[in-house]
Amino acid sequence: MPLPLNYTLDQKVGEGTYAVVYLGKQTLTGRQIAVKQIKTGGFKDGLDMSALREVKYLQELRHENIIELVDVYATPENLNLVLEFLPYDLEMLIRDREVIFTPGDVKSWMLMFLRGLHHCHRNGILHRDLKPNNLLISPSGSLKIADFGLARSLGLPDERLTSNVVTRWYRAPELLFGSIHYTEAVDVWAAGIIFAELMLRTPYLPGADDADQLIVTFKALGTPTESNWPGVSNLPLYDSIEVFSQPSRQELRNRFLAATEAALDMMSQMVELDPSKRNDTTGLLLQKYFVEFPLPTEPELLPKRTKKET
Amino acid sequence: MSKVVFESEFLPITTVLVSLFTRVFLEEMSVNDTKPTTKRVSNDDLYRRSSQYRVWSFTSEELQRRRQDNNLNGTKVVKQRVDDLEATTPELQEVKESGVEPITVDEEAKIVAYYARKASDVAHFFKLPTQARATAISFLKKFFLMHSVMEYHPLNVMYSCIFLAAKSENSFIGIKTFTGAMPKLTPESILENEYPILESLQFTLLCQHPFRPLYGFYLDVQAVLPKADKSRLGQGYDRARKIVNESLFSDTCFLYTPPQIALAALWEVDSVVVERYLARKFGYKKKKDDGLASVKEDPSEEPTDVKEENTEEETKLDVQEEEIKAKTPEQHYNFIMTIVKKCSQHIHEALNPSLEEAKIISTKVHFCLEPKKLAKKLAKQRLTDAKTPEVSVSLEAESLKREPDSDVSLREDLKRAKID
Amino acid sequence: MSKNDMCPVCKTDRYLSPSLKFLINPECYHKICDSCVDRIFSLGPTKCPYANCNKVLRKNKFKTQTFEDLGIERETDLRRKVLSVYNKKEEDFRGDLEGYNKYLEEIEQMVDNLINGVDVEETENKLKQYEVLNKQQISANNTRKDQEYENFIRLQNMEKQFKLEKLRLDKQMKQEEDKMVQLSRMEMIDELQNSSVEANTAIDNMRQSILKKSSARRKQRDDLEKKFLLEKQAMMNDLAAKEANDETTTIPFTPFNGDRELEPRFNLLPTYYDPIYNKLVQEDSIFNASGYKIEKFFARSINEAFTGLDCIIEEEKAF
Repeated sequence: MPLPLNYTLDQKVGEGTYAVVYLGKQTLTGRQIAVKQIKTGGFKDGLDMSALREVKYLQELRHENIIELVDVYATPENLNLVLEFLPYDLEMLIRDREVIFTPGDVKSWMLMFLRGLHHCHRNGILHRDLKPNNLLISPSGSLKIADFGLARSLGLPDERLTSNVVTRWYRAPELLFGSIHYTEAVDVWAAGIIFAELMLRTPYLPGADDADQLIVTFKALGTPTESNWPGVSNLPLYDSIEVFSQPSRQELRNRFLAATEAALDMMSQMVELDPSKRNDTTGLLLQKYFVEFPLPTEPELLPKRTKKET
Repeated sequence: MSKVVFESEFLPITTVLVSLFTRVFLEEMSVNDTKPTTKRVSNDDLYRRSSQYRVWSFTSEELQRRRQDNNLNGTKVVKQRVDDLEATTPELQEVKESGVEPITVDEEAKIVAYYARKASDVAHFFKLPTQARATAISFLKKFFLMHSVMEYHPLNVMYSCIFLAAKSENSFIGIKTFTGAMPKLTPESILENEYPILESLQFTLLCQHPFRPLYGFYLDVQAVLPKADKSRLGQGYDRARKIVNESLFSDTCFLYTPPQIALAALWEVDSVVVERYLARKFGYKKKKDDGLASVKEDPSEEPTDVKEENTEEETKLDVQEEEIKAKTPEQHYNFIMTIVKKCSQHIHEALNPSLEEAKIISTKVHFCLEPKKLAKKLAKQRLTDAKTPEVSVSLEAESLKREPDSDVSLREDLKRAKID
Repeated sequence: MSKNDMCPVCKTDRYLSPSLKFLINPECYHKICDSCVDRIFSLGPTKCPYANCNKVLRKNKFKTQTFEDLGIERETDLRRKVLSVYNKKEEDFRGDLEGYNKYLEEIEQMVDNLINGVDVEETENKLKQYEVLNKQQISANNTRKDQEYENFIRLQNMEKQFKLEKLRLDKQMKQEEDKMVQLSRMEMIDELQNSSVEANTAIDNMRQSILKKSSARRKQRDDLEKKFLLEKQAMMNDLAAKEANDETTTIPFTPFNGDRELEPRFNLLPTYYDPIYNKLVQEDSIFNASGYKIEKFFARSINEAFTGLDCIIEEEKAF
């Protein structure tokens, strides 16, 4: 059976600049899948880089908390990625006002998220586009990291990376300052911002543009200076901006009313300004936050979306 | 057409239990497991999840079988082409009757090896980093494990592989720059191969080369044998790198894992250091042999464990694992050394055909790809034979020259590729 | 009663110090006034000042009497002591009614012994033993108790808030109703005086707007009630889920769930001899500022060296 017949496509669910997503079924097993059809041809340099990256990294990362690439096949017009079916993402849940999050739920999502991220990092892969939109939820409640279009494996020290990565609101300060030798810490920062967003039910640092992002970030978390981040002034886009002081623990408590001390400890380690002081996924998974009460909710019992898709 | 499948792994009895647990673990992993997991995921298990292990690792028999199958397919395709010829001229009639001589399995291996080496030169020309260069070579070799040279001439495939590898390894070269540097190359000729290459690769783009493991061993030797002379190690590393480069043209990437190839290279260059290092690493007390004067021992040096937070459960699981995989230090050492030695041998079985050999095979390939050319050649030959016999030799040489996209372009490319 | 009005130790009576308060110590249950307790025991534990009582008392063990009958006070203290160790609930027995009853019997037996002074030492030892053996369970049960209490308080607060909101909305509705009544009265008066069309329409409009507001209010109130019910439900679910969890998690939680190698296969040195990379990272200040640590690169490389080292492809891939 030629491969395209292994999958039946039922309905279109999304369209982007370079891909169209369909929902469908795997004919033999009846399993629900999503097919991302990436247009080929029409690009003067051949197949699009994001498509290549997605395929490349999803092939290697097999983990409970990372979206599964079931199959890949090519037709004359399209490259087709067959992915597991994941009905909605964390952003939808956060915005759905009728869904109530308990601390156990937040903890459960963070646990699954950090486990998936840990798997990426131990394989030497940076995701570079973490945001609630890219954290998908399976029908059984599992959280999965998706969209590896901007991912990259860590190579040799002298490689130069582009600092224009990660969606603005989740961009780490070293990226805002134009660093070209950053590390997995940029993913940890994004994870910290997502953690904050889960607790606040609203984006934590919504900058209007790149310049504004600096101000919003530093107002909330303090301005980096040579004293709290040695070497920061050497970064290419470093600019002396208004100095805001770092928030005290009490100020954080006032902002994050639902958070326990251990939760605030963990968050502070994730949004540490100086990337060399930021904790890594291993350290974060061993935090007290995950062992103290309330325990993380079982994935099957996590809240689900209430609104129907229009 | 491609298919990505989680291949079942047939493991020897000693590690069957281990794999069973791993499979169970992978399928039933959940957030709050009410039963403790039965197995820890080791680094080797992580390697087994990689596409390189799943899709591109074979036994030598399997490798041989694939090449023979490819060759058979290629021969069939050639025969089909011959049959499809329209016998409009007597020469075409002749070709149709007697057929075109197909390429043998050995010749295929030779020509692919030749173009693999040329790919390396072209990559140097474009100043591509090692990773991209090695990946390009890997792509080329993998492509010709799925197809015969009688279906695709390796020359254009080579260029397309380099282009694709550069894209995949973040060393992007724009198509205009690429084709601009190589006259006779058009964007279409590069891009039209992109899809076939991706399909042959079964869309697995990430290649793990032995370079990083080699560097890792270089560092770890410093820790395990602290009194070893640093410049000796440094020189050893540099020389081993060259051997790893050479291994890219052999079959070792399909038969061994990157750390094993790295160790083999390092062992070739400095067997004393490697043997002592491995013995110390596995806790195996070897009998002292000569040549150790320059590698001083430090008996108090033991690999200290980095203690992380351990719950009772986790330590219990480790004990279980140890019971399953009980290998004495001596067994472990011998086991690795056997692999290292076999691998080292394999590296030197890499083919390195001469330009002459390659030219001959390349001509044959052209005829297989387009039997019409053979007819043309025969026609020209008859023409020159009809004239003075003495001239025939030089004219034949000339006729070869005049053939489009033939050995001329090859030679020119070779010249160009030698530019640093 | 004179007993309650005079401290037997200092002989101060309620007439002289009206704020006389009595404390007792669970060791011997002898009543002492609070100023005496201060005076006698602030410097450290000493003997009870009562004539024939030789018990050594500590200041922090003193408390106010809750029951008039000291016997009952003593019994409740002893019972509390036993229950702090034997703190399982019926759910913990998961349907095993006989087991639960046996458990309760045991508790009663122990309390009885302690009250009547029978086999006191034996009982105390039993208590201690049980505590040591079941330390984890006990603390888990305690935390559960705390959790439940917390939830209870939270629920209380929520109910209180809800009630306040409801009250507020009701008050507003009442206000609007009153306004309506007023308006209709005005209308009547107006009509009796003269039928001015303008005034009528104005009043009509106002009536419409108030109607709208009150229906909006009613909807708000309904929504609020719905929301409250949802939240309560969520909290109950959470509790239920937690309880289901607690039953099964007797195994400590492991964040990695076995998904990693605990003992690294190598010993990472603080620095390695690599002149090129060491120099590069040290000299280029951007590395430092970006959090780039050359040690991580070293660790990654060595890790790769041990990834797949023991995989025998020739054997593993044999068909």
